[in-house]
Amino acid sequence: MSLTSIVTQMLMGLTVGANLILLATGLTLVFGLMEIINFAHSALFMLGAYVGYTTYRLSGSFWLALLMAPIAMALLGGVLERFLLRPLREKYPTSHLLPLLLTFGLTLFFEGVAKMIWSADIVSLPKPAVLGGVITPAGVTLPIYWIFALVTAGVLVCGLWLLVERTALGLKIRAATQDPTMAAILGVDVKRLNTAVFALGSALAGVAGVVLGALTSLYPQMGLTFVIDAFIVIVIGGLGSFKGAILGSLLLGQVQSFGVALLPEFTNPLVFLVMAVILIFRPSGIFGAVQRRS
Amino acid sequence: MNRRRFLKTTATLAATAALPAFVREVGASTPIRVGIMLPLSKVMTALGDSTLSGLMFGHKQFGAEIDGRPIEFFREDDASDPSLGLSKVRKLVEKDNVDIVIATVSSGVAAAIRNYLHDSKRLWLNPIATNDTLAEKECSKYHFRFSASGWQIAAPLGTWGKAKLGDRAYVLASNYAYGQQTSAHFKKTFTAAGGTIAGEAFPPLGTNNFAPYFQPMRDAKPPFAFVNLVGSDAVAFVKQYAEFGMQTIKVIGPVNLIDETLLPAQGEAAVGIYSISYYTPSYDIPRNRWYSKAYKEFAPGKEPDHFNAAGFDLMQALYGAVKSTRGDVSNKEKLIQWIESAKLDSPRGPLRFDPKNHNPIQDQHIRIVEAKPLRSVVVDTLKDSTHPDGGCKLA
Repeated sequence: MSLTSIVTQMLMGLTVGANLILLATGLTLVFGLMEIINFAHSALFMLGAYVGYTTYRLSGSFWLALLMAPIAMALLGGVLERFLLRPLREKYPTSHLLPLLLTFGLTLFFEGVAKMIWSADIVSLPKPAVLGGVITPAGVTLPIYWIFALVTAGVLVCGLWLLVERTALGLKIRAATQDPTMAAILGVDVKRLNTAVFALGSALAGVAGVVLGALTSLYPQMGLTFVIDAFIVIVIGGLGSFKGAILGSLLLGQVQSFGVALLPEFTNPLVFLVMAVILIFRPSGIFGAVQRRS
Repeated sequence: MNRRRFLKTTATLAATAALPAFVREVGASTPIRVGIMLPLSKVMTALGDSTLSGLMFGHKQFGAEIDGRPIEFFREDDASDPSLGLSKVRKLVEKDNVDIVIATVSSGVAAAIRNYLHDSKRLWLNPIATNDTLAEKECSKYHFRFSASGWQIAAPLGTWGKAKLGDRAYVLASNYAYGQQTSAHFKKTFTAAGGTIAGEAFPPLGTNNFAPYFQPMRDAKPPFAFVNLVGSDAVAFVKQYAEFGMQTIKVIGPVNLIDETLLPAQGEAAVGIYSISYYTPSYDIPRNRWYSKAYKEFAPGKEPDHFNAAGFDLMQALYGAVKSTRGDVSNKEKLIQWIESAKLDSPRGPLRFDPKNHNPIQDQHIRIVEAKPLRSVVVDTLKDSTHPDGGCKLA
């Protein structure tokens, strides 16, 4: 491999990683606080993309689409948490299976709804003209939109980090993540916190839907392929760990990118091989939390 | 449930189950029962929907009755899942008592239902599924295909590509049976014609980001690439291929890479891509001009494509065959004979079936995508494309 090829593969791996970050952060945030494996993340991602698509069709503005999708998904996510997940979790506080089944069912339901509203046809969300074109630093072709997707992932990561580490809300989230009962005793409204965090995770799915939708295409099952990779990422990184989700995304991106270039026949198994090796040495993932008291 | 209620329910159920058999005895005015199984949910929904629309268009064209007997459709969704497909076909045959089964799009499902339909001796009209084996070792006299075999939409590209596009080619196809088989066909004819393979890649089905695949492809410096991807993978690839400025490497592939269901989503990025198909909406012959107009009137907002065109042709064959038996659909031999000797006036051009394997014999078009209007136009026609002998013994 020439130097250009190596640099290109690294950059391409970075774009794959950035795409995964957009999804994995929302997923891991919700898991960290609520210990829910949120399958509905894929549906919220897909609906976010379609809300963006419809906004674009009505207004002609990509930026408005990028604004509306997270707002709509935050509202929907908040409603789902408050009126479906919360009652279920209050009735069966020890069950991990029931919330999983609920969110899985919601995914199927929303896929059906999307098919009714937008049909099963594959459609495209156009990119804004400003983000068209390519730059070619040192002979590497980089479309501007891909840089935009990278930057978006970076901005979201920084924003979330600031929120979790530097604000009062973040302090409550960290407290409730570590020990919800104690946090509640000390006056944190854990229920409202759950709703807020679920809404935030959903908003992130909405952003991801628009940004990645414009990169690929929109169809009712679009969430599935993305979210499966995101699940691999958070398992590698450690369920519920924010740092882990980012590191896992970047790692998986590089594995996929160099796998394609060096071991084309073996790319897919390679991802799972890396996952298996990591889990052998770190059974709860790279930054996996120590088993929490129940 | 108490015992009395149980007995009552059982009796009602038994009576209902016995009903179809009883109705069948009545004769001439009883419906002709036709099963339709297509993917109407999950990843292949758009393809199943379009195929169904073509079938219904044919049904509307040729009338609700044949010799005074109405046609009754039993519709099932296989969700492109082989095991689900098999159980749905069993239901169609055993519960709904259909004489004719129309199925399906997914090659995996077609492979799964082949033995059952063959053994139950139902006429099987296959609108789309492209499995080569159905024209080879796994052929069945009850089966007719209305699209093309995998060989027909890949192998001719090797010879044509060598003659028209260059001596070296890259191969990129989804890592599953259809992608692998079509790549093998292409490589075989391309190398036989004297070409060399510059490199290959098999991305997993459901790949969203093709960026890592482009640099290895550039490094191989091929004049053109054989690409076989389906659905959203095809849309993502075509968009990203253009974004990364890869157009110096020409792309050629089976129709599914840039078919009419995907072209609007791919947009300008698809311009210049070559493909092969048995049907091209812009193909300028009278029958196709009629079809395009009539289909758009039937399905406002929808476009003619190779799915609905195959569905329409299937209905032509179904009506013709059933008419030849004067509505006696139990006479499978006569139905088969009629289709074997039929010359259908198809929107794709002349269509007939190979008596050796029941695979279509038809012209295959090489097309290129044009910008305004955005569509594929025919640049070359390969006459009478025929699936090669692969050891099929019709029985």
